[in-house]
Amino acid sequence: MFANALTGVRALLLVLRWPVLVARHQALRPRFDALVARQRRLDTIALGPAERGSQPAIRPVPWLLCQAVLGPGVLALSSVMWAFALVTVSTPLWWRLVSENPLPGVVVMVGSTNNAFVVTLLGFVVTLIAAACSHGLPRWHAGVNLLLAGGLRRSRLTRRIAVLTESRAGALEVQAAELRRIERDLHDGVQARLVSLSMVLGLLDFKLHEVPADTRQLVAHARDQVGEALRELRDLVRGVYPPILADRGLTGGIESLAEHAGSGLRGIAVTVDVADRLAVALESAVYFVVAEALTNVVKHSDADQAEVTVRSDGHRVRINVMDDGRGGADEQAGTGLAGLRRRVAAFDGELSLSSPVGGPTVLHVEMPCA
Amino acid sequence: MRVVIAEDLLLLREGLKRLLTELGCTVVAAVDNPEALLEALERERPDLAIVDIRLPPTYRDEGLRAAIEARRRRPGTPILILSQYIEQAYVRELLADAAGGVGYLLKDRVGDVSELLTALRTVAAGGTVLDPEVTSGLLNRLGRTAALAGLTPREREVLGLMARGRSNSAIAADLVVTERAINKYINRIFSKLSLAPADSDHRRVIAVLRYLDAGGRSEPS
Repeated sequence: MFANALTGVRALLLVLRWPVLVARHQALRPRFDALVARQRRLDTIALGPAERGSQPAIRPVPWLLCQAVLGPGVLALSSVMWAFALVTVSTPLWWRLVSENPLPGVVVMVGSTNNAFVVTLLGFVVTLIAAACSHGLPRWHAGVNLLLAGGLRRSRLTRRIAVLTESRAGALEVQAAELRRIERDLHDGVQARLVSLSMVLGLLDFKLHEVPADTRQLVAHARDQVGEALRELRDLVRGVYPPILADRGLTGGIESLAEHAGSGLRGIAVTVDVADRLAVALESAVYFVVAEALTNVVKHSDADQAEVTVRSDGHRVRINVMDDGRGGADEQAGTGLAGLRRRVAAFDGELSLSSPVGGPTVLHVEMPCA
Repeated sequence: MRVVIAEDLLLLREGLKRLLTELGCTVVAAVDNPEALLEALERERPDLAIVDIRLPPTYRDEGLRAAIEARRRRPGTPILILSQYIEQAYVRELLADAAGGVGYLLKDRVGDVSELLTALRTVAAGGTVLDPEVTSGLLNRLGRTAALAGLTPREREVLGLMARGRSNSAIAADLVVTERAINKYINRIFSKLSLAPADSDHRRVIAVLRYLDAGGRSEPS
């Protein structure tokens, strides 16, 4: 507390000498920094070791003024409390002395010896308060300094990051659930209606035996259009939320991807080792990462073989896509990899690509499960 | 032909019912969940069941599971799966029991009535019908490999039709050639791919699909 007060005095002196020092072109910063470092040591003693991290810049004037007021202020307040405590506790000692020889200017309102002992009891309470002050106030002072040093901002940021992390995970889950809902709506709505329309047209065609050929051709044309619409819709749905993912989880989903991509390759080896179902959002992120990676392999690598591995240990999910193609994949060249990186980043994941000219190309993605 | 329909969407259930009735079938039951399907199959013993893959309660692959269960209880129960999408995994599961009388078509195909009718009759008669999409993917995948390189385009076409469960006469009709010519094609394909000849269309489908699935390596039989 005395040390704090000393800091305060030195802070006050520094503020007062500020114009003088500036006028003499003397460096202020080292003196200020020394003072801050000294006070920080004191605060550490009061509060325990502070959290490690970059120390934010402190604004000098508010800090110095605060030390100047708080350091001596806290000392003064504690001293007054202790003095008051001492006086009240020791009342019986000086009561007799003062009542017999009243000192000029001292008003004594104790009244009797018994009362003096009552005051002593009160004095013990005051002592407790004084002790609480000298224990608590320096800590409070150190706390204020921490806030001044950006601790407040830091703790607010820490809380904010926690909130944002949670809300982002929530948003991703909501988005995944939305996509699934859209897939369901398409399946039960538009797709079903188109199938129904196709059925009606088929029946119409079946019944139109006697009509001229060009009329039947019109019906056939209409049916083809419906068929085309259904095909496009099916591709769209696969891009929104692949039904196989809901049905069979990642294992089924990735195998299905390999089967679809397989047309461009000689062989794809797939290993999926994921014990539990992952969160819906993460599951579909993994699916689309592999989908995009395989599309790249088929489109650009000129590879014969590819290998897809997806593993999860419950904490992190690791995706590895390797091909024996010509390598030299350039992240800047297309939008595919940048899109992948964004998708992975949304889950706090990391993506690395190794693709020397001549191959092999290895894409590695790691995403946390929680 | 007596038919059971399992489809959860009213629109499609009623549409199918009407279409099948127009085609001369008798729809003996039209249900919307897997339990009712199994019960209807038990009760009605129909010539054919048309089953949607997505059925309640979870709307995933309950239809497929019910179909497999029905065929486990009574092997060869003729079932035609209709779905909005084709998955090779489902094809494998459906064909795993090696009994005939199964089909797997995209719902899109109901627009082609004569084609649908052929499919219904084939499955009801114990044959196998697979959607063109099932085989086109597999054939494409092997397109670049040596396995199919020895086949002429015509032979590959015949191979694709075989994989879809077409009988020799149906393939002949599709390609507008004689059945004898088709027999010759098929013998040549089997010897080129070193596949053992199969005694039924269904076994032939399984053999060809397995061959395609394995990336063009014939299985030791």
